[in-house]
Formats: sequence, structure tokens, C-alpha cells
Amino acid sequence: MVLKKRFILHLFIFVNLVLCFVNTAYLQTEKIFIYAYSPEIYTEKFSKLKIDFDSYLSQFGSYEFQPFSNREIFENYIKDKHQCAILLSSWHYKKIAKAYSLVPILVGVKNGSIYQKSVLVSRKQKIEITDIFTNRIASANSIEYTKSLLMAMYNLPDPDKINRIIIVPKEIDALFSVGFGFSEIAVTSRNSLDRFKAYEPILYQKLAIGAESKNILLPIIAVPDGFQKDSQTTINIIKNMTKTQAIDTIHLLGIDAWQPIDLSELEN
Amino acid sequence: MLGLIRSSFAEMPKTIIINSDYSVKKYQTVQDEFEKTFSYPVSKIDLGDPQWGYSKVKSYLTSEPHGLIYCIGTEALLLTRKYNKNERILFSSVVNWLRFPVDENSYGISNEIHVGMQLAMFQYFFQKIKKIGIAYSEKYNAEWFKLASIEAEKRGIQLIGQTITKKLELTELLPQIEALWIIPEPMIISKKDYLFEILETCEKSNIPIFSYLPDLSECGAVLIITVDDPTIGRQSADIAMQILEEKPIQDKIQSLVGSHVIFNLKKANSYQLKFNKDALDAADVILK
Repeated sequence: MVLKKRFILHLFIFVNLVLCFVNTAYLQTEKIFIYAYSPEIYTEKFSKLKIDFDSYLSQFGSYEFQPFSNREIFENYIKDKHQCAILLSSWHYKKIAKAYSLVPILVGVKNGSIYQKSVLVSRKQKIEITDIFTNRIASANSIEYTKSLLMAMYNLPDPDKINRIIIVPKEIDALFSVGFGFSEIAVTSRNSLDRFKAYEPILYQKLAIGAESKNILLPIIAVPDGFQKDSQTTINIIKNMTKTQAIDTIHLLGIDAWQPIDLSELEN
Repeated sequence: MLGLIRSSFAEMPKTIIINSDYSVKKYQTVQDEFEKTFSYPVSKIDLGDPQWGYSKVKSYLTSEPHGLIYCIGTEALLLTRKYNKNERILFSSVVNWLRFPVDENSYGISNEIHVGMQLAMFQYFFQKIKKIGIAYSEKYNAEWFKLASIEAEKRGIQLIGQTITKKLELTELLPQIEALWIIPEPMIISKKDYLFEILETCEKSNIPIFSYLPDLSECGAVLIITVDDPTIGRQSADIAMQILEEKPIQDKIQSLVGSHVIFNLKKANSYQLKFNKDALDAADVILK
């Protein structure tokens, strides 16, 4: 009997939630965009991301996912947009949040943590500053972001001297390229290196960590200040992706889930 | 400092990009990425454009010294070496570069993913698969098969070869293997009948196919590991800049650092294959 009551109660809540979604979707007249730019996502994956995101979003009404491969174009485009959600790296968020009046809402989660670390991997025991300037560096992040990581790790004032970064599609490519000797240095996340250790123990033995970054927050979903009050439905749709088949789409972003962000996390 | 470097750039002979056909998407991607990364002046020849007749190309290639000639595709490489035998060239997107003479002034990027990297990727997805079959001809791939077998052995994988003579025969091979690897073997690739026969026979025998041909993913191959065209352009630019700056280059012909991986999840499930779910992150495309 108790179980039956509980079932009816859950059913009631579920139906209300669905109705709430449906109503909002049909009342909503203006299309809501999710704009995305992240130096941590290889641009060749954008078409797949767009197809998968749009297929998921289409069930909730007038939503669309719009990724950008160029930071400047992305920033110019979102400048005057008020009713939208924005997916970007925490690094990028910190750079533009004030100027664009953005409010952070969600942060990515990977293996239960909202942080990741980047590491520099090489076949040499130690990576000197001169190696950063002269060696080939394979990275799955954008050149600008990779340079910023290297500058922070080695306390370098000038990014212009780092000019041998090759962008590769995936972090595993960067690791293989060093493992097989096609590149001298790989920039990768600690998570990818740990996975490499598990599946490629022999190649892993040839590698050494030359430097490690501080904790870096995973990607962020933010909204324009003026849209914060009305953004709940959009945010719920994004957050609930993990409860559907669209979880594979979340994995393409290099995360497992989204969780509400604690503003103090951004102060680090 | 930057100004000094720039002025010395201006004095340097131009690098020529000679593209086999810029209207072909993969060649276009390679060139565009090259130009985005390369910081020296270039001039361009597009062999796909009718305005570039052979005589015009010849006079362009022989008229004055060039910093470097970057050839995209086989036709560009052949034509360049026909008209200009002495200058430094860099090539990419050339299928089976070993067919062509390579001298001390030649640099390039292999259009095949390094065999060790392909095997590593196979193993990353399918740890249980230990016996992989390969159909090859003595004429084109005997040496490659020997080298690949050594690489595979290091990983505890056995490559089982089936030489192709006049007729393709798989009946002896299939019962011994857990997957079939289709390599760039002219005797197979140039004959569509062979290719379809292989796909059909493997399908009937529940043998998964690994390959390098993206089109095969739509025809039932489970795992495709192929070159990533944007990376070819970027890596070529890196090598080109090293050449122009007279920096030492360890390997004149290099393996590509970036791969494009297609995983046919639907097919893997239909064969009830056990695969590593963590490896899905390494797939650029997952077919469901």
C-alpha cells in the first residue's frame, strides 16, 4: 500500500515536471541557443557535437547548439546575445566573464572531480625550458591554451618563443606520438595519462612527467546576467543530458556530467 | 626581434605549395591547415585548375630558386620531381610513398598511420583479440608484413598472413583468426570484387574487420584508423619551418602524429564483441 502511494506520488511529480517542460517549450517563442567554444575540444568534432546536441535538444522545443572553432568570432558573436547558454573552458570564462556579464551556473565533472590537471610528458626525465622552445609539442588543446599552460608551468613571460606546437585530434594521439618518438613532448590531462598507463603499460614506461599544472576547473556553462532568472529550464535540459542516451555527447566534451558550480571554485 | 625575423623572411626564396587538386576536400584541408600554421611567404600551384598547364608548371618550377617545394598528393610529387630534380621537396598525402624514389633532398609525411600505433589502437579497443589475419601480396607487402608481425609480437598479437596470388582465397585463413585487417594492398584495393567478397565472407563468419579506409565503416568494418588530414597540414608546416631554418631533422620521412578513428558500435554489438568502453573517447566518430 505504502509502495503504491509512493508510486502515485512519483508519477504525479513526474507528470508535472513533464508538463512544466512542455509548457515552457511551447510558450517559448524565441529560439534559445547554446553557444560553445572550448580550446580543449578538437574542432573536427564540432559537426558531430552539433548533430548530437541538436538531436537531444529538439525534443524540448526551440533550442539549438552552435559551436565555434574560432575564439574571436565566438566572442564577437555572443557579445549582444541575451537569451542563451554558453559553454566554455574555465580558463576562457575567467578571461571574458566580466566584460560579457556572464554568470557561471554549471561545471563539468570527470571521475567525480570538477578539476583536472595538465601534464607535460616526454621520453626524457626532465623537460628544460629550452626544450619547450625547440622541441615538437603535441597537444589536443588549442595553441593559445597550450601556450598558456606552458607559460604557467614554466613561469614564462613570452609566448612567442613557443612555436612548435602541433594540434592533434585526441590526447591519446599526443601520448602515442611521444611514445613512438614522433614528437618530443605531449601536453595532456592527468586523466588521459592515467588511462594510458592502464592500457599501454609498456609505452607508458618509456614516458616521464616533466611538469604538472595546478588544478584546472573543467568546462563551464554560463548565462548572460540578464537571463539568469529565466534560464532554469535550459539549464535543466543541459544538466539532464546524462540521464539519457545523450550522455555520449557529454563524453565528447571530455566530462561525465554537469553539476552546479560553487562560485568560490572560480577564485582559485 | 620579431621585426628582424620578419625582414629575413622577406629575403628568403618563396616556398611553393603544389597541390594535386585543391578542389579535392582532403587536399584542400591539408593546404589550408598548412597555410594557417606556416609563417613564411608562399606561392601556390593548383594542378586541378586548368590555368596551370604542364608547360606553365614547368617554367614556374624551374625559373628561380625556391626555399622549398611542398607537394600535396602523388601527382604533385611526380610532376615536381620530373621538372625539378635538385631542390628540397616536402611531400604529404602520397599513398605508399615507398613506390617513389626518395633522395637526400626529400622530406615527407607517410600517408599511412604507423603500424605500431594502429596495433596499439586495435588493442586499446579490443584487448581480447590476439589473432589478426591479413591478406597481402608478396609483390607489394611481403616486407611490410614481416615488420608488422614483429611489432605485433611485442604486443602479444599474432598476425596470420594469407598471400594473394591470382585468386583471393580466405577459407584457410578465416578459421584461424579473430579479426581481419585490410591494409593498403593494391591487389585488394584496386579490385572492388575482392573487397566486397572479403566484406561478405567476414560478415557471414562473424569476423570483425579493421581497416584504414573510411568508406569501409559504412560497409561493415568495425574499426577504421586513418590519417587526420588537418594534422597532415600542421605537421608539414612544422617540418617545412625546420627545413627553412636549417634545423636538424631526425627523420626525413615521418609518421603522422594524429589519427582519425571511426568505431562502428552497431557492428561491434551485432558481433557481440567485447570492447573497452574507455576507448570510446579515442573515437572521432562512433557509428550507432
